Amino acid sequence: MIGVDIIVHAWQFLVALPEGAFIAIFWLTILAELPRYFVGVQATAAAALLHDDQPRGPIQQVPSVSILLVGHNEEGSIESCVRSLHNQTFNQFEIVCVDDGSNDQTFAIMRRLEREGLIHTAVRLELRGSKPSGINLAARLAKGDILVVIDCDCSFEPDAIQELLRPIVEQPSVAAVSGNILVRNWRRSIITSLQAIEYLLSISLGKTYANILDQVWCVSGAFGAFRRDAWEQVFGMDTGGGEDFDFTIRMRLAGYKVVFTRHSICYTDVPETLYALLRQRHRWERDTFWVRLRKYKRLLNPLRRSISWNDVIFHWDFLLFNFLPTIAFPFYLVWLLTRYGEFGVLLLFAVTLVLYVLDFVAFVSAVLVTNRPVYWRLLPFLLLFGPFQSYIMRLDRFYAYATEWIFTLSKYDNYTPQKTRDWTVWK
Amino acid sequence: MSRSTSSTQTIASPYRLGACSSKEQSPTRADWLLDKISVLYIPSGADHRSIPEGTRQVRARGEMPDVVVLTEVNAARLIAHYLPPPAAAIVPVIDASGEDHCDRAWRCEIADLRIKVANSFSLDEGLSILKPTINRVRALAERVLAATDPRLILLARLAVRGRDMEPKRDASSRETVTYSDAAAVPDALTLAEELVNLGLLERKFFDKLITCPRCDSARLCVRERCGACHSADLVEEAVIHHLRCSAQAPERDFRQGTSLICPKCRLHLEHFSVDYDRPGRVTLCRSCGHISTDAEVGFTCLDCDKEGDTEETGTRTVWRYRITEAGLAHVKSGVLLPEGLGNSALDRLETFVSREKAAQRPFCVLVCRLVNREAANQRIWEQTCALFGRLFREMFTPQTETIDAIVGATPLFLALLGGDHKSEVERVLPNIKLDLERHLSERPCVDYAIFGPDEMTRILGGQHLKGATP
Repeated sequence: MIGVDIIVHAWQFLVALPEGAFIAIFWLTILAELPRYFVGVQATAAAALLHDDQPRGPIQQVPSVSILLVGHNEEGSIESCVRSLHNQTFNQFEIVCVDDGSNDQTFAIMRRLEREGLIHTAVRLELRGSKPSGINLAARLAKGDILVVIDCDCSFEPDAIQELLRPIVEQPSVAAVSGNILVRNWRRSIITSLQAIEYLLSISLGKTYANILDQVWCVSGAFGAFRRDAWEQVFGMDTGGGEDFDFTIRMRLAGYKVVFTRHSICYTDVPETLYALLRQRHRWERDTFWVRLRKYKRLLNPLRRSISWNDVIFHWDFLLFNFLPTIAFPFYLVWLLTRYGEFGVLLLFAVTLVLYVLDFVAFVSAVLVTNRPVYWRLLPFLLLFGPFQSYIMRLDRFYAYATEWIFTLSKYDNYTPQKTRDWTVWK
Repeated sequence: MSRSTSSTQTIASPYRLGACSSKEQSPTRADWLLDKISVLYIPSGADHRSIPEGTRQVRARGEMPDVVVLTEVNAARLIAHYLPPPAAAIVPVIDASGEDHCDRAWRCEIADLRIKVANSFSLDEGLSILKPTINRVRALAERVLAATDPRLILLARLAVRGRDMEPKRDASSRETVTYSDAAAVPDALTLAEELVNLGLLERKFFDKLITCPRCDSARLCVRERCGACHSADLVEEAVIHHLRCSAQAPERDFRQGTSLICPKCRLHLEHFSVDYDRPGRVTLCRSCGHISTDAEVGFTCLDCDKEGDTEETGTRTVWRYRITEAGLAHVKSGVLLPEGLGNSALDRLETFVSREKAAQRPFCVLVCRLVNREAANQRIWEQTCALFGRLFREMFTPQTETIDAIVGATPLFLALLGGDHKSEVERVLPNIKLDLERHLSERPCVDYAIFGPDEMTRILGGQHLKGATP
């Protein structure tokens, strides 16, 4: 009964608020959340549902294709990944594997698969370099005109590679294609279920929207295809975290078109515990901060000649709708609770109620766009998703940005070996 | 001094041949000179200056010498003219032709000892070395020296020499190993296997040879080759990782004269491990450009020219054969060897059936036949058969006799189940199947059959074990 009372009070409060006061209280939600939900997401859903502009079926005249698999201690996943690739509707490709200094059975498995004819080339590096250097070596060894980069822990829909290649084959202007990544282990825990919803919203739906606006700026290192000439034009991947993001930015700055295809679906495992998730996100957010606000901060300047408005919009979008709300959020919380006391909690609850409605609409759109009915089962977790994203993940992001801004913590990230990190230009 | 030396020789030798051991324990030179050593010089005798002191020359045919001395190249072929077959195989031989037989074709394989100069001093030394063998020959029973059974002759030959029947590397043979004893006892290897079945010899591991899957020759040319085009034109290169820009490629991409220049950022690479690393090596095929970490190992058969991957090859174990205590006892007593005891799977089965019938007990035989239906490569198939055989033997109690046999190319495993009714075994057959096959990663195709007492003729008289080799 107490819960019902709170909801009733919150609703009465929201209805009674004058317009000016409403904006004064909920300025963060209005600025940071509503534009994304209503302008972008729903437009995308409508566009995707009303006319599917991507033709399906076999693709014609495919250039030679190389799939690059770089792994470090991937003995548990490499074989299933390779076998999954060989079950593709399109399988006229070579697979080039690089074992980046594993100390488990990864290379032994690669060798066995090579002997079985499932892998074309398997190379072992005794010393771990980093993922970018491993991918660069794989690209050097590959013979294909199209390079497909895949994470070892991924598995695929049967037509995933075909759909990934379609934009490159059918549109000569496209140099890179980002595939649609969904969560494979979403049944494992509440945390994985929440991430599954997040992937649906941010990748399936968010990138479809970004694709319509020509704002695809990150071809995930987990699943993406690149034209070799464009790859060589930007000299492959660079040292440092967020290499896939950085690589895509360089490709776009070099004038190449990058697109997203929601029909090419790959499945990956996500962290199963909150601790593992937070660790992963710390790294991702620090890398994002480093790439956007340190390495490419010049893109924020609309007056620079070499930078197009598209580039500027992308960066300011991040700054206005991601970075600033994240930074402001803790202060907003403190302001709200200080000003309204216990009633502030009620206000936050009211906001959450509104966001539930928005989340529900977005979730429905995402599942429809993805066309995977199995994800309807995630619907109950939507009740946790909003608060989880708003409070836990946003505060975690705030922590990552703050520590990166002040301490440049990404410099100490052991995802890449120390030797390599020493050479990264930290600004 | 000489007593202690002789004692050491006796201990060092794994063999104890009855009477001769007592002689070996009192081996002063004075003692054994009392009994002059009779030497047969082939082909033409020896002049008195080259005959060592304490020996006498055998001139009459049919007289048994203690030692044969070959004074000319190729004289070994004449031994059979001078001595009956058992003596020709048993009596020790000294090759005193003085030829350095580098050419294996001319080497006298039958000789126990070679001396370069056929003078009395060298011969004396040679005789001293062969003295234990001579003593053992003298201790042999008359009927051993008159034996007609080649198995007993082979046994006696090994016993008097106090050594194993040892294989030697021989590139001129398809098997790449030969047994020197085969020069004295024809078909020595087959005879040795029979003696193993009788428990008179035991196998000791010598080597495992890789064999051609087509012609079974062990003369294979094995070399590294490209996994893509099978060319042997391979070159190994380091992989260089430029730490600053993450460029990583084979060294040739960086190499410009004596300098290393990054193909990505055009910087000079100067300090190893500081600005660049060599994290691994790759093998580059100069024929097709294929790159991998390890080259494939392939073979070419020198006899039939078959080329292939080493995984296709078969294996053959080469054994040395050591005489057992039972074998020594047989040689010492000169008792004739039993004919065919344990000689074949069929014999053993017949013995089992007779025994069980005489005891009026229920019995049956479980037969498992392994079939290579999926044409697995030779080595994997051999491993599967060996593992299956071991599991099969471990499946039953130690008292249960099991037989492994090859019929044609099909491995057959028999369990001779005394005291068990066929119906009882049929009831537990699913469990037996499960236990036998669950340990094998790739389940083999196995045919199972159980034969009761009334059905034994189907095995004994049928085709099941015809031509079976243990």
